[in-house]
Amino acid sequence: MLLSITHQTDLNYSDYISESVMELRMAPRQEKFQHRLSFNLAIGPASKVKSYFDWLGNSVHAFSINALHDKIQIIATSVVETISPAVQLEALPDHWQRERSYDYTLYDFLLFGGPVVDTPSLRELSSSILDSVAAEASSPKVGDLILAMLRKIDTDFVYEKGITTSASPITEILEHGRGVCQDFTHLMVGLARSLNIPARYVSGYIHPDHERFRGYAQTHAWVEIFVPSLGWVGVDPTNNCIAGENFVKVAVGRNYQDVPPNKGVYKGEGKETIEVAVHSEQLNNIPIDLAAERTEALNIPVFAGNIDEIIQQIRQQQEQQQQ
Amino acid sequence: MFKDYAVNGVFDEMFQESGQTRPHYDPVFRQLSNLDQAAFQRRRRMADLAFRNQGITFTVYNDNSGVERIFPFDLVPRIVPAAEWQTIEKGLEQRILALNLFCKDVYHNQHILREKIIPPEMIYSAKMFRREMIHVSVPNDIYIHVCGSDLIRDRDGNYLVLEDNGRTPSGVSYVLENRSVMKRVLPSLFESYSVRAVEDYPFNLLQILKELARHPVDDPNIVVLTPGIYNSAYYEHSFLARQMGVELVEGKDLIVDNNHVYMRTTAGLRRVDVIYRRIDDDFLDPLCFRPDSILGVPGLMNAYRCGNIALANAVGTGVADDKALYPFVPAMIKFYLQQDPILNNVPTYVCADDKERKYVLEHLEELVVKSTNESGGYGMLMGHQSSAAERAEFALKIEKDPRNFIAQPIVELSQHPSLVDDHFEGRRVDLRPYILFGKKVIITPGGLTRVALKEGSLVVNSSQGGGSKDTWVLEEQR
Repeated sequence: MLLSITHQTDLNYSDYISESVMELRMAPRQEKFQHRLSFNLAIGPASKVKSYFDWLGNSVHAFSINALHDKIQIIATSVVETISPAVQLEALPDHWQRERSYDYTLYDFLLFGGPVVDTPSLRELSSSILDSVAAEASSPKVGDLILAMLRKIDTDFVYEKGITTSASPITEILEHGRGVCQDFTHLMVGLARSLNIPARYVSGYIHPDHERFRGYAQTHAWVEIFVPSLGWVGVDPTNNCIAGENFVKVAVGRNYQDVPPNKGVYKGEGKETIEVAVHSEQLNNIPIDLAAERTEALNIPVFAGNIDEIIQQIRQQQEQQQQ
Repeated sequence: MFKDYAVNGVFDEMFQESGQTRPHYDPVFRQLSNLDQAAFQRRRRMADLAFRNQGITFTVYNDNSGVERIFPFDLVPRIVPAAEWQTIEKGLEQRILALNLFCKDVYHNQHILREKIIPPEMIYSAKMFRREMIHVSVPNDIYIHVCGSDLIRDRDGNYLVLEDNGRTPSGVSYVLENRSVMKRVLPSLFESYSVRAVEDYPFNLLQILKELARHPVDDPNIVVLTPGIYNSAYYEHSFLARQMGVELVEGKDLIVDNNHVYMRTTAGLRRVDVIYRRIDDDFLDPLCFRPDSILGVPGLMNAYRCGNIALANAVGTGVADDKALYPFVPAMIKFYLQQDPILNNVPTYVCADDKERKYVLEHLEELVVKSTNESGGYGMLMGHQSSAAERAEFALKIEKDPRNFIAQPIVELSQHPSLVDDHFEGRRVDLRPYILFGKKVIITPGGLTRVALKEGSLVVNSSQGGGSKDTWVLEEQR
């Protein structure tokens, strides 16, 4: 599927700020089932952008704006060709083993951390899923476990905005039974890890297909599970399906904290409000004027002047321990 | 003043078991014995005054009463013969080479993990393992530019490495100040030995920092980055900046623009090439590490990644001085250098290992338990001096987070005569030499001898009531 995706972020500040430093993870990954044909990044106020790969192989674009400003606009446009991975979970040959040992490079995806917290209620849920699968087969298969997790989340949890925040640990969705794609993803990552199955967080976009999918209007999040016979397999706990050609993968990580589309710090008292709009479109042909990667400047103003520096808590942090 | 001096059944630096002085201590013993009480006390007061006037202080945390204190100075010098020092020097050089190769390896190809010399989970669970440094190249492949490794001596006088400090080791300013005070207070004693100089430390440090500048210009702009005046080592930060003739800055004095680091000056922004940073990784860049840090410089890691700024020490060296990885240093030396360690480790139990943890929990009373990522003597249990309640509390902590603890048998540190009121008594000492790693390895002869001033105490950290003394490495006899 040939997709064009426009991801617009508007950051507005209630007062002038300065010295913004930002990092973006918005460029789709280059992968076996996904080719990034083009990535265009427009930023205002005008700034030089530096890109690099982080330790997980995600593309990061970093920039800074030192002069006073009160808004930042970022428009990332990608053209991506996706190929359906054609995975059949019920046909996977892998048998589940509680004590299986994996290559050490998967260690990070087996450990709990950040919002993916290990709690008794998570353990309870994962053992009930394991029991339901083990009841049907003496030696449960990984594929059946993944399907059972997807089904369980689909039936027991409700998609609802405003219950959780981007910083919510999975204890919240376990308690309220409600959340958004990020919570569903963290939950499934936690379930897999509690059964000693490596799992990672994927952030990206979903192209709406007859409005069949939940949470399509925004950036999306889903899960990748490591299956020894196949490698990483993407599944979407929010929509109870395999991540197929409608999914555009931008960044992978241990949890959301590794992959936020944008993060930054700035100086000033102004409060930040953020508006995000994602628009996707299926293309019939590859556009002829396509550039592999390009940055451009948006016409957003900066202002002259100076503001007082923030010096709070400084003493406490200065007391950081010395050896 | 040496009347009633007891050797206490441990290794004494000055006296053999028979009560004879060791030959290299003869002049010290003779001259100190000839000084009368009043003369010695006068010199002690001179020394105290010198330290107070210089403002050589450190800060104690977790203590409501006081903040800044004078680091107690003990007038009796420690003497290290040339041959002994040679072994120490070789051993430390070997060790820093291995630790540095280890840092490069864990952040790049990870051979040592692939070949299962170190269990990978020990690395991936290390708090100071900085994933952000994976695949990032650092200037000249050097990570640990400044290292302070703590040495102790066992009952037989063998030097053992107790720990390595490869993040932001402090204390070298005391080495220099102790020497300058000793020369003034006991000049004739100093002149009766040929003592190797320590005064070139700031010069050597400046040289290795200059080597890090990306574009070899005549005069790269080097700064010392301090957390600020409330940090326990602020005196040292300002001392080193002054000695090297470079600016002392705080995070708020620096700014990143287009991935270059600049210093705010009255004449506008000035580009910075090398930062000798005395701020922990966590606080270095709020964008990359702790977002609440206001001591750091937002965007610094991006400038670092681009190679536009050099940092000493590099980011991520904490993985090499993690106490749970310390037991693997001899294996690192074998793996990277194909050599046997010249200086040995203290035997160590890693609580993350089931068998070793079981042993530790059963023998808490005979062991020292240390938290793997703390320093300065915080977060430890001295088994033989602990109450049953303290041991029970520690056992719980260990069970809850085994990765965070190691245990070692209690090593009887060597003792050295120290002035206690009006006479000398044996007090336990260690030795922290300072290693600089640039184009070559330069180890300042001697280092900081720390003294546990409390009788019978084995903890020498300044924050836990320790003092220090001057350390004299002797010139080789020709």
